[in-house]
This record gives sequence, C-alpha cells and structure tokens, in this order.
Amino acid sequence: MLARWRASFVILLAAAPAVVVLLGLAGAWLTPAGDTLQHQWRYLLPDAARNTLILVMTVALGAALLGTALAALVALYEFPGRAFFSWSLLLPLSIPGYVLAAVFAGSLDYSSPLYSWLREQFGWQWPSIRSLGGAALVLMLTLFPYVYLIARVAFESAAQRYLEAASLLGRTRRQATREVLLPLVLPAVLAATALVAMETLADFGVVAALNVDTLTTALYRAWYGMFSLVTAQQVAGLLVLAALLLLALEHRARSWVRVREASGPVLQRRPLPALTAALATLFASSILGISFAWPVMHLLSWASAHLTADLDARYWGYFVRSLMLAGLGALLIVSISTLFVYARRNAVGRIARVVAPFATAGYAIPGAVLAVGLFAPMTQALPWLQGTLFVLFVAYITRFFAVGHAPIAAGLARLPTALDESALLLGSRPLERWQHIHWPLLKGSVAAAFVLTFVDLMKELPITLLTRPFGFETLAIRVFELTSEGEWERAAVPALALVLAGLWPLKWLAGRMPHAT
Amino acid sequence: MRLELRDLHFRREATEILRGVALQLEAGDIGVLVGSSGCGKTTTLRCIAGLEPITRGEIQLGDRVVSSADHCLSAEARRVGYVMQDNALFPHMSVADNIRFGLRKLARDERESRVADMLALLGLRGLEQRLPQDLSGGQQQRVAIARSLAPQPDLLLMDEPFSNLDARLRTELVGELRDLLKRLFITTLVVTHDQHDAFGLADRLGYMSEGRLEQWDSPYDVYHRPRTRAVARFIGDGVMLPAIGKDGLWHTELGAIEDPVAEGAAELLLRPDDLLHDDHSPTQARIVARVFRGADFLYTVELPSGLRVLALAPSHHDHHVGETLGFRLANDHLVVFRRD
Repeated sequence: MLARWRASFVILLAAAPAVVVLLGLAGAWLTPAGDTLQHQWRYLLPDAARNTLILVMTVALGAALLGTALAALVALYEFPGRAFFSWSLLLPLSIPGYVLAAVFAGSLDYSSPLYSWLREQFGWQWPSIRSLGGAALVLMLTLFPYVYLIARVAFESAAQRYLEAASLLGRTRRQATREVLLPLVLPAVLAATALVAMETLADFGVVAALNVDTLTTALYRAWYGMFSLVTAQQVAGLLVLAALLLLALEHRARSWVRVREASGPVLQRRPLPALTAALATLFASSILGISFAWPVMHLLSWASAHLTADLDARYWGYFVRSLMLAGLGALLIVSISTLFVYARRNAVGRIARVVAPFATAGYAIPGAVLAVGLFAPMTQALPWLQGTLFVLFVAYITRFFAVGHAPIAAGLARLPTALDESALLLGSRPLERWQHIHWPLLKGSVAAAFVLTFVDLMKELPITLLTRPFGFETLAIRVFELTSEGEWERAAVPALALVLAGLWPLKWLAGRMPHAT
Repeated sequence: MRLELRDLHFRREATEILRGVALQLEAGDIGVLVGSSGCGKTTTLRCIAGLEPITRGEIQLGDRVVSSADHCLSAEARRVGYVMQDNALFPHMSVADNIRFGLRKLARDERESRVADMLALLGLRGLEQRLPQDLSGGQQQRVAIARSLAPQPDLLLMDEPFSNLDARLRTELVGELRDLLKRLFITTLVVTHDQHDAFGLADRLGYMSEGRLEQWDSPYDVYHRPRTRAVARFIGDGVMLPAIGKDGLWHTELGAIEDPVAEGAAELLLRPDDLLHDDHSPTQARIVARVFRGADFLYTVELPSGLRVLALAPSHHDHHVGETLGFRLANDHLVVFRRD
C-alpha cells in the first residue's frame, strides 16, 4: 500500500543506523593502532575477552540445561504444582539482571547479615558473588526463562503421533523421548540459547555491578576513562562479530524449527511416581524461589526500610523520565516497524532487499556498542545534537527494532494476500483495506509489540547511560548508580518499580502462549 | 498373522466409543473398515496397535491374546505396523533414517539390505537422503508404508492411507498396494471413508457405525446383501422402494416382483444397476437430474408418487432433464428390509 520508492526509503531509513555503526566499526579496525590501543591489547583486552568467552559459554550452557529440563518437566509430566509452574517460571523475566545482581551482592556478599550469620553459626563459606562465577549465576537465573518458554512450546506442540510411531517401531517411552522428541525440540532450544548468549554478550549492568571485566565494561572504560574512540570501536567490533555469529546461528536454528512444526494431537502428559514427582516440585520451586521469590522479598524488605527516607520528589522525576523514554521509544519503534513491515511487503528493489536485514540485525549489537558507534559520528556531524535525546532514541530504535518488528511481521504474515485481493476485487480503496481489514486483524500484534518494547526500554541500561544528557536520571540509571556505590539496599525502591513494570507483559505473554489441553 | 477381535469395547471418560466390535481376518487377507467420521474406525486401529487399552473383550493376534480388559501388551512389543493418517514421518530424519528406525535390532548388514529392499519395493530409490518435507504427498505415503513394513510386522494397520492424494494417484496406489501386500503375504487392516478405495483393496469389508461393526463380509456381499439399512445407504448408491407383500409378490410402484416369502410392509433396496434403461418399457418417468460419468449416465428419475430413483444408462443414451425415460427392473436378487 506504499508506493514503491517510498517503501524503499522506509527500509533504507530503518536500516541506516545499524549500517552506520557497522561501517564505523569496520573503519576503526583499519585505523592504525595508537599507544593506548597497544596498552589495552596487552593488559586489558585479553582478560576481558577471556572473561566474556567464559561468561557467554557458561551462561548459555547453564540456561539451556536449566530451561530445557524445566520445560520437559512441565510439558511432559504431571506433578504437584505443574500448572502453577507452567506460567510462574516466566516470572524471573521481569527482574532485570542488574537488579538480581544487586540483590545477590547485597544479601550474599561477605559483609551481608545472612553470610555473617551463616559463617558464625555454621562456619559456612562460599566464593564471592562479585566474581565471574557470580555474574554467570545471576545471568543464568535471569535468562533461563527464554529457553524454558521456547522449549516448552516446542515440547507441547510436538505431536503425540511421533511418540506413538516410535513405540510401534519398538521403542519404549523413554527411548522414544530420547531418540525422537529431544532431537525434535533441539533446534528450538538452540535458537533460544543463541538468544541467551546474545543477551549475555550484550550485558553491561550485571558485570558492571559485580565488578567483572568483560568486553562491554572494557568498552565503557575505553569510552569514559580513556576517551579513545578508536579503541572503543575496535573492542566493539569484536563484540559485534561474536553477536552476528550468534544471530546467524539463531536464524539457522529457526529454519530447522519450521521443518519440525507438526499438526495433530499434542503430547499427553504422564504422571510421575510419587517420589520423583516430589523431587520435580522441589526442583521447580527452588529455581523459582532463588530467581524470583527470594529477590522480590528482599527488595520489598529493603524498600520498606528505605521508602520514607528515599522516596522524595526526585523519584517522581526518575519515574516520569523512565515512562517517557520507554513510552516514546516504544511508540517510535512500533510505528516504524509497522511502516517497515508494509514497506518490505511492497518493496522489490534490490537495494531494499539487501539492506532490510540490517534493520533487525541491530538487536545483535550490544547497547554499549550502539551508543558509542552512533554517538560519535552523529555528534561530530551535527554538534547541536549533544545534550538532546535524539541519539538516545536512534540507538533505542536500532537496538530494539527487532523486538517490535517480530510480532508485527508475524501478524502481517498471517494475513493471506488472498484477503487483500478479495478486498481489491470488491472495489475497496487502499485506506479502506487498511482500516477495515488489516488494522482489526493486526492491532493485537501491534499492541504486543508495544508492550514488549516498552518493558525492554524501561530496564535498558547501557544506551541510556552512555547517550543521555548530563544529569538525566531514570529508574534504571538510579539502580545502576546506587549499585556501583555499593548502596544495594537503597537501590531497592527503583528496582521494585522496574520489576513491577516487567510483570505487566508477562501476564499478557502467559495468556497468549499456546496451551496444550 | 490371523487377527481376531472379540466383543471389543473401549470407553474414554464417559463416552462409549467402541461397543462390541467383533471380526476375524485370516492371515494374508486385507480387511477394510469403512464408516463416516467418528464411528470408531481409528479407535479400533489404535486398540489393535496397543495405543489404547480396551475396556472389555479381547484382541487376539495369531495365537496370542494381546489385549483384554486387564492386560495390554505394550505397543512396542506387539510387532504391529501402523501407517497413521498423516504419516507421522519423523520430520528431522531422512527417508532412509525413517525406514531404518524400526530395524535397530538387526545386524548392520541385514539392516542396510532391508532398507535397500524397501526403497526398491516402494519405488523410493534415489530419495534416501531427502527429508520428508521435500517429498510429494504420494512419496511421503510410500515412505510411511516402507517404514511400517521394514520390520516385517505380523499385522499392518493403515489409517486413511490415501486421504492426502489426488484421485488418479489414489487409484494407482490402491492397485499397487494390494499387489504388494499380497506378494508379501501381510495381514492388513485398512480404515477409510472412501468406498472406492475399499472395493479396490478389500478381501473382507466392514461397515462401522456408532462404535459397532454392522457387517463384516466380502465386498460383493456387503454391496449386494447389506444387512442393515445403514450399510445399504453408505455402500454404493441406492434408493429404498416401498413395497407391500402379498401372495408371493412384492407390489411396488415399479410393478410386482416375485418372492416366495413376500409378506407385509417392507422396503426394497434398488441399486442404479437394478434399473435398466429400456425405451419400450411401459414404466416411464421424468428425468429430474443427470450426471455424465464418462462411461455411463446416472439419471435421477421421478416416479408419479414423487419418489426419486436412480437409473444407469450407457454413455450414448443422451437424454435431457425433463424428458421421460423408460426403464425396467432387472434385479437378479432382492434386498428386503421389513418395516415394523
């Protein structure tokens, strides 16, 4: 419904920031290395790169195992509390990683009351949470629900008849599960794991809060500490390269998932024997407890202690600014996504086709990289942009475009072209078709896109941190600042506000998920 | 291997789905169950396969009772092949891997030669490495059959094996399949809702309705000697002609028909081939509809009472709607349903 040249224009515009950033990073690698860079390469980067690698691999593996195990339990077996865990295991998604990091650091660190008490009473000791292992644990506990959700849907939609066919060919239920069912859901698990790895790679809040040196913190330091744009961009290049590899893996895995989509009656859940069922309930509740219930309770108790002291007029400001950034950002992303999706339907030009994937590739670029990669060229070209929110919104759109784009694209893909054609043959005008046919069928997807991006933007940290005008504070920034000062308990009030905001889309997500009945 | 069902009952929650199904299928024979959807055909197959436990009765395979009310040999131990309605080919395995899946217990050499045999037997050579999604409907069907036949099952079950195929492919595959099963001497029970497939395949044909098997006979007998009105209505075309029996004659609108036991009120089953086109016959009726079927015409004619009957005429007897058509009764046997 867009003219062809206008469609191409929309696509180019949406893809432009990612292209600019990627070109800038490529350019930085061609720039000869200065002294600072050699210093960095020698002393800082090897550690940071090694830590990043270990972190990504540990978190991906841990989240994959944990998510798949929980998904298999919930989807394939009957045990006490199964229906409750089915949705509640998504709750940890509402807790931003840096909030969980703050709670863990504040409650499990050497000087924390809990640790002191256990140490004195029982002589218990454990390694500090402010370590690579601690960061891995925190990230795993906040990211495993991605794997859980995708794997659960894959298990639940696997057709019963595959297991039946396997049993008729001589396999027991256990053999059939291992030989047919697991390979069947593997691509879905792989896609989700790639997503988790990308999130880990891009994480800044958790590693910064727990003082772990990774490529993202190196980037932050290069940018803020040494003011070396080239160094920062070279580090960023490494990050993006890794992320693009993961993105490619995720795309490939998704195409395998499509091959496996099945119809027919879904799997029937089997009851577990009493003891195993009790263990299953215990396992699911301890994961839910440590990743959600316990941190929320901690935040509540800390918040109630500091509420009166901290909750002054400033908080109103943080809150409004968070809402404004997230609301306006989500609105922009959803509008551009909608235009983009239609543009892509209409555009046939070669440039548009080549460039379009870059628009969604922004999701693979860590927020810190985007911030640095956009801020420098944009403020150099247009100095008056400094001190405005313009770069921040461009970076938001670039990074979270894919989040808003996916539901809308899926929604439009569900509308068969025959629908347009019949409407056309009945003599409708383009605007009428949009208003009476597309919008009513698409508005659910658009709402979904808005909610998902809104929540991601509420808790976004690195972009906001690096591109905001001086002194512009939001809830997420406030949590980060208090955490970096070691004021864990005082961070509870803004952190709780973020958790509450994150709970909102989960309710919607849980209601929309395909259910096996 | 011989299959026998005795008084088979199956209940799911409060619904009685099978209510006493009994049949015998001799070794090497092909049995076909027809019936409208929801009549219990598929459930019967699932019970035989061991996928559903039965609530009453017995299923005997060879000389072994595999299912009874308190005992159900598990599906993986039954040696029953089952080609499911949508094939259920494993989507992530190649054609060869799908066929190989049931052959795990064989030695490697034997296994590979069995796979090669199956590929050759079902005309799948050259497709070994393809994924199911890259095959046509007919090819997928063949892979599913090959996969079920490869372990040399004692009994083969097939659920609507031709439902996804177009008409021509269907006719071809029905003939091929019958030849193949006969050659391999595989006892087979097929479920279909299509009576043409059924006639093409069956040694024994059964009609199921509401969880009961209303008749289990040769296809010829099911067509020409239906036991119940439901069987007569489902199998083949036909019309029920009201008749009054008196003095060894059935008196009908189309004339009197001799029958020593004619007595009381009844209905006679009239197949289209029981009425022959004859321009000189005293019985004339108006044509209200006609279907040109290539080799013949199927006319619907209306009798003076308003009753409509079907008449078959050779392809070159081209009459139009509204004309009158002469015909005579040419039935060599009678199917009588008495009215109570």
